[in-house]
Amino acid sequence: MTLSWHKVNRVILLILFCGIGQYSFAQQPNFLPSTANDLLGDLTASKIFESSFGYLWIGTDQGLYRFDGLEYKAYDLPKDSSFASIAVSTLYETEKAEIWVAFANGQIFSPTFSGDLQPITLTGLSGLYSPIRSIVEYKDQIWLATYGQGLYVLTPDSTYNFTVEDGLSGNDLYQMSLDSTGLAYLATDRGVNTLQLTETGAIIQKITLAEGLPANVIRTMESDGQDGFFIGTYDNGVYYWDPNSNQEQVLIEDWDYGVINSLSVFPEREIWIGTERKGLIQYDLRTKTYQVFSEIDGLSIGRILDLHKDQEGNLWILSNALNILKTNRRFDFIPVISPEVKEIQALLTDVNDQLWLGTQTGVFQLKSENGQFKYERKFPEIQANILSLYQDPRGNLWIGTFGEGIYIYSPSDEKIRHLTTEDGLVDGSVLSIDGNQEHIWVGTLAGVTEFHLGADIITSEMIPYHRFEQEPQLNATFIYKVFVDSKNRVWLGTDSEGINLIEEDQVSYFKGTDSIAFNTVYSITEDLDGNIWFTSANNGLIKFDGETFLSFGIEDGLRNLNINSLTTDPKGNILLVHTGGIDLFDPNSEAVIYYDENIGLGKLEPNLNVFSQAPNGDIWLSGQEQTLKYIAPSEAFRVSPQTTLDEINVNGSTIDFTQKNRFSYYKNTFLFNFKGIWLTAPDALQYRYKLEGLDDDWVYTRDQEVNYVNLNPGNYTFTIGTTANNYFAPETSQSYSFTIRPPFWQQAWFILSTIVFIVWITYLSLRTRERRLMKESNLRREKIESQFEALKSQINPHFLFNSFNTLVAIIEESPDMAVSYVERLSDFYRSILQYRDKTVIPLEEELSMVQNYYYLLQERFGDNLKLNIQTKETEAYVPPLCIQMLVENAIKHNIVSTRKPLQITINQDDRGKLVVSNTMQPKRKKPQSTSFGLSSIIARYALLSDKRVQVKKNNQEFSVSLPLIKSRYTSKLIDTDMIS
Amino acid sequence: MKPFERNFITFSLLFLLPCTVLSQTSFYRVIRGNVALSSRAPLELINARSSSVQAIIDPARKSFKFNIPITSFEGFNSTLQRQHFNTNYMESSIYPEAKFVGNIIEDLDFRKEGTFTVRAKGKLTIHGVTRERIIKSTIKIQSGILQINANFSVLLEDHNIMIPKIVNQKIAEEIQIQIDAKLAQS
Repeated sequence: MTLSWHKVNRVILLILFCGIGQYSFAQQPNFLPSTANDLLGDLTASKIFESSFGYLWIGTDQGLYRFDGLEYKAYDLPKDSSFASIAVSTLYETEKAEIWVAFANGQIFSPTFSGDLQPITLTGLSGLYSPIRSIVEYKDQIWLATYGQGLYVLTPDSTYNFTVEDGLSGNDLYQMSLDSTGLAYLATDRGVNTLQLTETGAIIQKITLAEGLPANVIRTMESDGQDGFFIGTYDNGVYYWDPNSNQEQVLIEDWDYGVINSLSVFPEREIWIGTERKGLIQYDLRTKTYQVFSEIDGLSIGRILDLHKDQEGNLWILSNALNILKTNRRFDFIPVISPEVKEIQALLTDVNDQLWLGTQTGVFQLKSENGQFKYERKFPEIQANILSLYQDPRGNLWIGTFGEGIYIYSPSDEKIRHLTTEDGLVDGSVLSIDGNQEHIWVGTLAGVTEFHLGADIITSEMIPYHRFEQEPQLNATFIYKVFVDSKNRVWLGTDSEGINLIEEDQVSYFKGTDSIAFNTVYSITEDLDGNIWFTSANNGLIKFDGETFLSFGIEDGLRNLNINSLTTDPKGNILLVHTGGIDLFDPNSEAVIYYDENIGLGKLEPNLNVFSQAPNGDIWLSGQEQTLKYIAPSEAFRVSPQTTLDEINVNGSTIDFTQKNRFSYYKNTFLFNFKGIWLTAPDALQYRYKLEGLDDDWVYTRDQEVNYVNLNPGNYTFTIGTTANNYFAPETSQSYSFTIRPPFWQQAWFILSTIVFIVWITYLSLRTRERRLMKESNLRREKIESQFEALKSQINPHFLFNSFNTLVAIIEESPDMAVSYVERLSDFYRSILQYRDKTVIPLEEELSMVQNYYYLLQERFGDNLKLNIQTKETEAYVPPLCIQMLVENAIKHNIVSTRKPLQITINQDDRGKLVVSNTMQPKRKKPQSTSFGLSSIIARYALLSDKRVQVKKNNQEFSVSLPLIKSRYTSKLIDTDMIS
Repeated sequence: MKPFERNFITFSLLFLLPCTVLSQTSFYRVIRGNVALSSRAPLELINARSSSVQAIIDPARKSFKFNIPITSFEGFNSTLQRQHFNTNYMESSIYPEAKFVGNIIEDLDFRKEGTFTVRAKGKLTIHGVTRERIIKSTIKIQSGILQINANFSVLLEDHNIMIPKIVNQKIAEEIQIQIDAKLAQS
């Protein structure tokens, strides 16, 4: 049986609305014109949207602007005449953090890196020409509420278009919101429609007067932070509507403020209503009162076009007359202090939210009359210098004076009782009063008196009391502050003696530790976890968790070590007041927010007691120029600035840094553009950045860009952090890691492959050299062998014998011929000797040698041997004696007879080869052979030329074709003659 | 029903309606149409009226069109004033007519007799500037005759009608308009 908080809160909310809003004048927000106005010039901002990152996207009639608090970036409309002066109908951020801007013609665009708007095409969407008023992504669906064409639902499979024909109350949809179950709430001309998508279509429910909600034109709907909605209508004002109970409650009766354009809800605090003609209305949900702002600083506020509550708690107001206004909704102000009140020394907010002031001349109460604030004197009989004010749990007002004791005022019987030292006060000067249900402790200049809080405190003879004085209980006289904590312990802030703690009538003393010293304690508070926080003159803020003391100073983000007063708000934040302004300190995150002139705050009083927490948690303060109220927040706002890397520029061109992070060695000049967003005080932003890989320490700056020129190759991480309070914690930082690759000649693969290549080349050349040497030696050997064989064959006794026989035969017959024969024989032998050392000889010479040889043979064989030489080539070379050897082989292996004459032909074929062929008539008996001749020729050619020696053999013919060597140098080997 | 089918049917209906349904249920047209305007400025009260209101109502689609020639306004406190109205403020040579075109939000059965309050939502064009307005009107239906009455105001600034500083004590920033028209089916 648990009652959910949701329900309880809703019930509470509904109870709150039982009363109808009353027109009232209350404290005022401080409206400040946004710096964006100067930048926008004549443009009228009509739509405002905040991205999750914190940018404000502002739709104007001339395009889209992104505002970071200080500067804007323009996104131009498409250069298409149909976009001239077209209004932005809605802005949306997708789940992928893409901004969509929808125009009145139904088109959607998205801003790009380069400052353009690129069209977004949604699959399945066609024929839409009406303004899109709301966009919602739900699961894998996109819902578009249009003004004119009903609702579009794009699912991955199909497109639905729900219109009046499907049961909607109208095709003009003003707004849409979807709950977590996918139930859509649609604002129409005739009340709210709910729509639930089903398998076959949709279930549409019309919520009109019969079912609870009047069939009004619903212009805008804003969630109350839970299930309910605040609803702004065309001409019937604002409703609170709870869909679960289907009950609605009108906020302001007899609505006379016309058309509502926009609503902004601060749950459980206030609603802002922007109207078409009647200005801006602030409705206080706690007091159910409202006030209307039709002018700001004497200027008409005009038509309110849009309202927006940002993540920091600022309200942004777009008006056609004043353009963009900002007001910080964490503070309210009462601007004018009546001159009659001199030197406010004490402040108190009573249970009825009435503000009491203690001054040097008495007690006053703040009243408002016809929109003017004034101070009304109370208790004229108390003509005293008031130092402290306190309201006890029974409602009695305790007024502490300087030297004249205490006055107790009972509102129930309107009587005043005066307490002096005779009634138990230690001293007549009362600096601080605090208490609980049973006891009141009064701090004076000489100690503390504890009074028993009875029902008859005004009328009883004597109030029971207990005195704590310097001797024997306390170690101090001046008590600046009395603070009773949640455990009923009484903490006393003393002058120069630290803290005295009264617990069960026992007093303990704290004056610091070895590392933290504190003497004079001005103010004490307790956080939500029960830790005690106090301020000490010049020592900043000190936390005591029951065992240890922890000190917070300038280095922790505080602005001023002389904190006058501090107190805890209902969310646990500690408000620190000093002459420089107000610091809001979050004990959990240790974040500090500075408030000063950035929210319109004037100079604050250094007095200790001008500080009061109302029963609802609001904290009132008095300054020299204004009285202000810190509005206890009901929701968590962002406490520190957001940081973004806006643009990265490499060698002059912008890169998509979400995709690219590796760069060539020459792309090494980086420009980082970064932005912090702190809309509360954009001027206060400071940055620190570090490029890991280059910078060792943080670099602090107020600039929004940094340039790194000619970075060396390596790995880098750029980190940027932002602060609004000089102290970078807690910090929202952004990082970008990237790599500049070394040039290819410095990269491992290149060095490695170069080494491999060199080794390979060396190996190759060594091998080639080795081969060549081997070839050379082979050739030399072959040559020697061939020379040897040639010599051997030429001095073959058979040849000589045959030659001599021939010679003998012809000497007698023809001595002249014999002489010629001998000459030829000797020529032949000379040639052999002459050529044996050469690698190649000219073909001509070889052939003339063959002619000689033939002559010698012809004498022997007569006509039985025929040699036919037909060569064209003259400039050609052959290895020496190779043709001769082939001719010799022919004779050796073949029959040479009258019957079978041997025909030997030497000619050139079409490819220029020299062909030595003979008719095939082999001897029956194989001659004795070393088979050296032919193989020697083939081997020598292999060393000399790429071309091969071809041997063809058939029954008719035996032929050998020898490639001709074109010059003695083209041969693969340099002639050894040439070397030597 | 698949979206395509539904769209197709809607599409077909849009084309078929004028040929079939509308030929039977004919439009309501003006028998008598008056419009009065009044400007209550601190120094002067100006009244003018026109009887040249043209109006047409399509009962099937609940759509309407009202048309008023600017030069048809008569009255004023002087002829010069009327001339200023036409040439300086309304620029009637450039913007000769004012019109209001739109639909009735409520479901209204024109065959049912009685007096009904409806909201007419549409585009109001004056001085060439169009603004969307929802105007509350009463429609009295009796024997096939529609008696339409509507009171509303027009902010001069909304329609870019500039009043010189000297005369702004004599002309109100907000002009009250009263429409009174009788329509019958033709």
